[in-house]
Parts: sequence; structure tokens; C-alpha cells
Amino acid sequence: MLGQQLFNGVLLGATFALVALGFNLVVGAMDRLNFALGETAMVSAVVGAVLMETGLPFAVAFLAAIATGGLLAVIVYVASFRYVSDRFPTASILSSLGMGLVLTAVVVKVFGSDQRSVPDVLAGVDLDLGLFRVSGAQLVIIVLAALMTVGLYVFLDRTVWGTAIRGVSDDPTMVALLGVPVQRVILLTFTLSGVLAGAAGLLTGLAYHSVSPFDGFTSTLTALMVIVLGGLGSVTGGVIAALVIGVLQTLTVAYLSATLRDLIVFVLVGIVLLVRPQGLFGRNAGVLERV
Amino acid sequence: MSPYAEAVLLQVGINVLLALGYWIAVSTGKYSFGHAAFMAIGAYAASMLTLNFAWPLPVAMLVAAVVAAVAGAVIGWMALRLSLLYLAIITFIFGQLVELLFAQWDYVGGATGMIGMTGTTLTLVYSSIAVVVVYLVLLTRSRLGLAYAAIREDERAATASGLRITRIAVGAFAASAAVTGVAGALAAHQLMIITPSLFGPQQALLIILYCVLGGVQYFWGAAVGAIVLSVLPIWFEWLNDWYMIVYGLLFVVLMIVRPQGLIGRSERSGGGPLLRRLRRDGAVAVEREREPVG
Repeated sequence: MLGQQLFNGVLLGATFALVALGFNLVVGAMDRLNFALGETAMVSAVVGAVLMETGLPFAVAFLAAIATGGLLAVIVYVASFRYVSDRFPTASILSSLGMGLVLTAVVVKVFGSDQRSVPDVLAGVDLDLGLFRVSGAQLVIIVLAALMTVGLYVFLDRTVWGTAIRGVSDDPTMVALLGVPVQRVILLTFTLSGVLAGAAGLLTGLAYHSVSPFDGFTSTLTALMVIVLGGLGSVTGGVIAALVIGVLQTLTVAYLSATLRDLIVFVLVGIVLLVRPQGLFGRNAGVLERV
Repeated sequence: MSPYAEAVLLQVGINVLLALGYWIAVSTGKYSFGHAAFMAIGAYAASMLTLNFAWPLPVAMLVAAVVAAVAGAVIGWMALRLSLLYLAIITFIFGQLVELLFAQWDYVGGATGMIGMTGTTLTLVYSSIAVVVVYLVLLTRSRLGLAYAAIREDERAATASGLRITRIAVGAFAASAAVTGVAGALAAHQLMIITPSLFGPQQALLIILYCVLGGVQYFWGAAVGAIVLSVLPIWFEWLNDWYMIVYGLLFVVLMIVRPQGLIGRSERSGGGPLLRRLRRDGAVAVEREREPVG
């Protein structure tokens, strides 16, 4: 029982981690928050769900979802970040919140405001690993989320463009002087964050078997709590914090009460903000500067 | 006066109050993304008192102001020590927390909310506005108002001048929350029914838009923004169907074209990057001319 709950929590946390990583990438690149990222995830999930309903295989729907996510993130970048003066630190937040409103409203106009069910994948699969059982959908979620997280690590750590992203995050002026095309790196960062959000959207939809146009807001909220807990801009901290929150929520629902699920996370985040505002794992200099 | 006109005037008045309240926080340069939460706190506090204890509305409004101010001070104290990004995150989360708490609190009706509040009159709304406007006029002419502007323009310079910026900003945040709480109380007693979802993110964004559209430099700019945005959906009925998209795009366009709002000098707020560069180059040229020869 406990093993199963822990696994479910990790599963939930893995989807949180993807959106939170998207947020942290943008914070690194521009010191700005993209508040439309949750809605980006929601739109991608709706697109994925619609494609799956028409009978297309999950792989196609997943690719379409991450493509949608990347594209939307670029649109949000152009609308809310590229041409917004950096003399007004909150302007991009307001603008991206506005984009979030627009995305939600457009989805409601086009697809209606009802919940949309997400078809199951690998319905016949049911692995029994002793401590816990894994359904086909859960297997897909955990494998894809892990692949994307590890892929992001390898990309940031080993490739030229990944190094450039980390460089821009540390000191944009310096890397610009070294000849790094900062604007293109930022564009790449936004695309990556959208891809992660798109994947998270569809995988979350798969976990709950449904997606609603108003999910975007919840994703943004969860991601914000994850990045406060893990430290603003800290990639590793974000992943660990996401898993902590996922497990905590699942255990609360299983052993205490479903109504306490969000409250416990709020309390945890409040304590962290009071005691350790740089986040549990925010030890690198870049994060400290942002507190 | 016809009941319709009265309803419109009440609605506009409450929105103006919301915009003025928000402006107090913004005048120190601190943007909150969960101000609807203070509105909810005020609305629920006042409704509890008038419904369950039969208190008169004006007294309940004062209590609402105090409760909202305390909440504002606590959140402000948590968030204003940190950077603007954290302020955005914390106020955003706080808005959700308040909505969630009211939705789970059975004493105030949970998700179905409270029903049966009446008593908001034009006199009450517009005398509240008058009080706030008098306060704001005095504020903008006082040393405290100057301190707000100093913090908004340059926090480091303000600190160096000996201002306790966190304490001053928390004070501004609490005052802002108090006014927003009063507006919430008035809104509750006009709407007759309140639910937690009424004070959700959309309402929070609307308050910001009132203030930002008008311009954050002068408080009356915020009031003008509130009036315009409250009256537009009445004139253009189709807006009701599309207002989320229209208002969302309004945010996007506004932030690119005039992030300081429609009213206000662009000079102080920096203007566009090109204008600023021109001005800087001009200043440099003037200084060179002044350089002593030899």
C-alpha cells in the first residue's frame, strides 16, 4: 500500500517537475517568469487529447503536444518578452498572464469549457513489481518524464547550445561579449520550456484521464510552489522539490484527507519562505542573487 | 435615478475603489498578483458580521479594512523582503490559498458561498472613495508619498538615503489591502451573493488592468482606467462574450507600447529604449560642450 502510494507520488511529482523545469529555464534565461506556461501545457494537452480521440497513436499525439508547446512558448516569447522593455520588471509577468487568459479563452471558444477525457494507452499492460503495480499509462508517464528530465540534463551539461543556455543564465552580458548569440539562445530556452510544458500537460492529462481548459492555472500554481521550494532558477532543486510535493500530496490524500492536499503544500511553502527563502536547494550564486 | 443607473454607478464606484487601493501598493513599485484575495477577505469578514451578528454595514466595512490590512501586512512582510519575482509568486499563491480556504470553510458556506447581504448605497461607496482620495492627495504631498516614489524609482538609492524600504513598503501594502478589503465588503453587499471563485485570478487581473491601463504615475490615472474598463462592457455588449480575450490582448499590447499606462509622462518612466538612448547621447553631448578647454 505504502509502496504504491509512494510510486503514485513520484509519478505525480515527475509531471510537476517538467513544468517547473520549464519555469526555471525561463528564469535562468531572462530573470522573468512566464506565467502563460501552465496554459501552454493545457493547450498542448487538449491538442494531444483531440488527436488521440481521432484514433491516432499516442506517439503522434505526444509529438504534436510537445510541438504545440514549443510553438506556443515562442509565440508567448514574442508577445510578452521580446518587445517588452526590461525597465519594467513586472511588465512581462502581466503580459504573460494576459496571454494565459487569451489561451484559456480561445480553448473554451474552440473546444468548449467541458472536461475532455484522455484515452488510455497500453491498456493491457499491468506490471506487478512486488511493492507496487504499474499500469500501462503510468509506465508511459514515468518513462517519458524521466527521459525528458535526463535528456535536459545531458543537453544542458554536454552540448554547445546547452552550455550557451547556462552561460546566458549566469551572465548574459559576458557571454554576449564572447560571441554567443544571446537572443537565439533565449529563443531556444523558451522553446525548450514550452516542449517540457507540452509534455507535462499531456502526461498529466494521461494520469488523470481528463483535461480541462482551466487546468492551466493549476499547473502554473503547482509549478510556482515547486520552484519556491526548490529555489528559483535551480534545475536540480526544482526536480527534487517536485518529487517531494508529489509524494506529499499523494500521501496526504491517502492517509489524511483529500481536502488537506493543497493546504499542506501551502504550509510547507510558507515555512520555506520564512525560514529559507532561497529554497531548500538554492545554493548556487545565481539563485541567491534572485532572492 | 433608475435602478439600472444606480447599479452601474455602484459597480463603477467599487471598481474605482479597487483601482485606487491597488495603486497604493503600486506607488512603491510593488505589484501584487493576488489582490482579489484581500477583496475576498474584506467581503467575507463584512458579510459574516452583517449576516450573523447583524452589525451595521459601515462598522463591518471598518472591520473588513482592519482584517484585510493585517493580512496584507503579513503577506507583505513575507514577500517584500525578497525580490520582485518572489513577490509575484507569493501574492499569486496567496490568492489561491485564500480562495481555497474560503471554499473549504463550512461556516461561510464553503464553495456555495454566502447569500443575502444588502445595504451598499451610493452614499457609502462614494464617501469611501472620497475618504480614499483625500488620503491619497495628502499622501502624494507628504514625505511618506515621496518615500514611496523614491522606492519605486530606485530602491538602492532609497536605502542609501536612509529609508527603511521594507517597513515602508509593508505599510503601503497593508493600506492597499485595507482599501481593497473595503471595496470587497461593498461589492459583497451589492452582489448579495458571494462565492470563493468570484475572487479568483480573473478578478485579480482585472484589478491590475484597471490600475495599469490608466497609468501608475498618478492615482487618478488608476481611477480613470477603472471607469473606462467598467463602462466599456456596458456600451459594447459583445465585449461580454469576448472580454477575456480582449482584456488579455490589452495587457499584451499595453506592456509593449506603454508599460507605464496611458496617463503619465514617459520621461520619468524612461520612455522607449530609442528615446532613452537619444536623450542619453544628448546629455553626453551637452556635458562635452561644458568641458573646460585647456
